[in-house]
Amino acid sequence: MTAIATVQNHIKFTFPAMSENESLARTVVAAFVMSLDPMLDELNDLKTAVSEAVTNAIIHGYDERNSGMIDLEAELDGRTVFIRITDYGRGIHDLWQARQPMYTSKPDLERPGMGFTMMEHLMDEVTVQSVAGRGTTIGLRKTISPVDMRWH
Amino acid sequence: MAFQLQLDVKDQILIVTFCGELDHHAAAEARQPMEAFLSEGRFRHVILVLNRLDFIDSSGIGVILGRYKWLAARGGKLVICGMNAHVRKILDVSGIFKLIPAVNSVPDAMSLLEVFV
Repeated sequence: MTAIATVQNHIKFTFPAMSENESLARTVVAAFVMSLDPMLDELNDLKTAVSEAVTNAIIHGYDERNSGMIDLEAELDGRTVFIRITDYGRGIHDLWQARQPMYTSKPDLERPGMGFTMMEHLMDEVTVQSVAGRGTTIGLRKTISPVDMRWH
Repeated sequence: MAFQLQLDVKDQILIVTFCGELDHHAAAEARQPMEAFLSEGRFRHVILVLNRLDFIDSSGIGVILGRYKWLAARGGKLVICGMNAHVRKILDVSGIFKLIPAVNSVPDAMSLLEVFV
């Protein structure tokens, strides 16, 4: 396979923090990375991590009030995908606690407290920036395997 | 694909089939019919068929764990059967297989539950 020029692309879209938009967000990201010809497993990892981050914004950022907006930015640099999901809700007061496996601030809602664990397991890197009362940005990074290096 | 749920009854066991994508949005659609059926008290055990489930995230894990806890508190068993590679991976990361047995088919699940019926 001949070397191709480094892909540089980015998108940004904004949508209301409604649960209906969880599938929209992960579908858009899946479509965005299609040019890299990802393996099904890699695609599902990205879709799941995006779903976790958007769900986090809806439930914890905005307390499921169906108000507020979520920004989703995705960027390709070569075969690495960078995703940023930002809400302008109430922010996370204790980031360390929020990232602990099985911790949930909403046990009554049947939340297993696995969102961050899942993202960390599926992505190469997960970053969280949060300011109380201002909002939260979750950053996801994952490098898609080169097509000519795969076992078929 | 939007989430769909199918309920079947066989030998006093409730067989629940999840289809499509089970995320936070679909969680209520998955939870409510199961809760309604189970609260009638006619079934002790549940087989959860996942071979037509395309997508799951931690919200979906919450739905399964919730039903597991409900059944366990009443002496009931939950068995998972049939899942694609993505669903298996997410369930594996969640650690749910430490609590809930997974088998390949409904007949396998039935024979696993036979001793408890």
